[in-house]
Amino acid sequence: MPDLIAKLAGILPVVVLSNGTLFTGRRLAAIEVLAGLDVKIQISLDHPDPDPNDEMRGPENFAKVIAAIPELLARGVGVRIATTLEDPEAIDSRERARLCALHRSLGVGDEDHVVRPIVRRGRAESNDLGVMAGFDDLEPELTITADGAFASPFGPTIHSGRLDTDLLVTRTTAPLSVPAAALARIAGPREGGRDSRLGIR
Amino acid sequence: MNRCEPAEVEDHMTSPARVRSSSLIPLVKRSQAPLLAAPHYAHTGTSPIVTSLAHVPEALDVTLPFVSVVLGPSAIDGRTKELVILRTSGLLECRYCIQTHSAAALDRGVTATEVRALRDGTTWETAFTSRARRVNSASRRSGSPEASRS
Repeated sequence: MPDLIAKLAGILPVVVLSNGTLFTGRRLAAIEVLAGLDVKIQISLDHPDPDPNDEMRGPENFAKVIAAIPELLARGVGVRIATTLEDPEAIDSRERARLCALHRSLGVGDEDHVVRPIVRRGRAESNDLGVMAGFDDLEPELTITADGAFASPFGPTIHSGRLDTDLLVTRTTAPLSVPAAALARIAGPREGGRDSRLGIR
Repeated sequence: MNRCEPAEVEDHMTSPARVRSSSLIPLVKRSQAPLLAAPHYAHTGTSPIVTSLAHVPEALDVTLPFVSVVLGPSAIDGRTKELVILRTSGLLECRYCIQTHSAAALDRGVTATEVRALRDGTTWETAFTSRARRVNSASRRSGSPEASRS
């Protein structure tokens, strides 16, 4: 996987979504091929304190993420932190300040910290959380999965035990030019700037 | 010709004993229409061909024009087309095609007796004229698994 990501980074900027909990030992060594490349590992960190963060992200998530980020940066691998909140506008200013102080202390600058709302898909939809977001509300990011190519990493969610296909682009994933051309054709006529209104990144 | 009302035929034709072995795929609902398929859902009453092919959205733009030409006006009348399609569906044991084209065949003037024969082939001699049986022979050649593999 790191070699594939390195090749992709030679063509386009790459963001790799990760929960950041498994970057230890062998995996850290394997990821060193990404050093200095236009790659960001996007890791979620929702709260400056462990308990509220782990309530949504799982036990020990906070501690593992806090440990992994400096290790990645020390190896020259870029990190982006994503904070996902039910209502980003409602976050307490002091809490936000502590969160930003935390990511800066870990070596992640403000330009690599995004705060975004929960998207009402998959488990969030089942739990009645988040904002509704359709194709026009999301930046087009070709997302390759075993089920096909999607227009966004928010696309391949499961609802009522069935894969959501409303953001499916093509079932064909190779050659990559097939879904890439299809997504360009679909996204081309969209209204400019519409996909930044909800701040979903 | 001994014709049944569509409701009676539908009940008989979809009884469990008549259901073939291949699986049915769920039709893709409008709310789940993939991006390439969404324009095909613009009108109400989207066809089952669209809602089934939508599982592989990139297939729609290449398949629908072909289907349109095949099923559209041509030198071959609609009834004959449905005879071939339904018999081929029966030979391939495609449950979806059998159910869909049973209804389509009835709409095109194929009788219930003929539909039954096309689906399972057991009442062939009594249901059809010699000319229609020649059509069946052509369907068998093109629709048999052996033919598909050749």
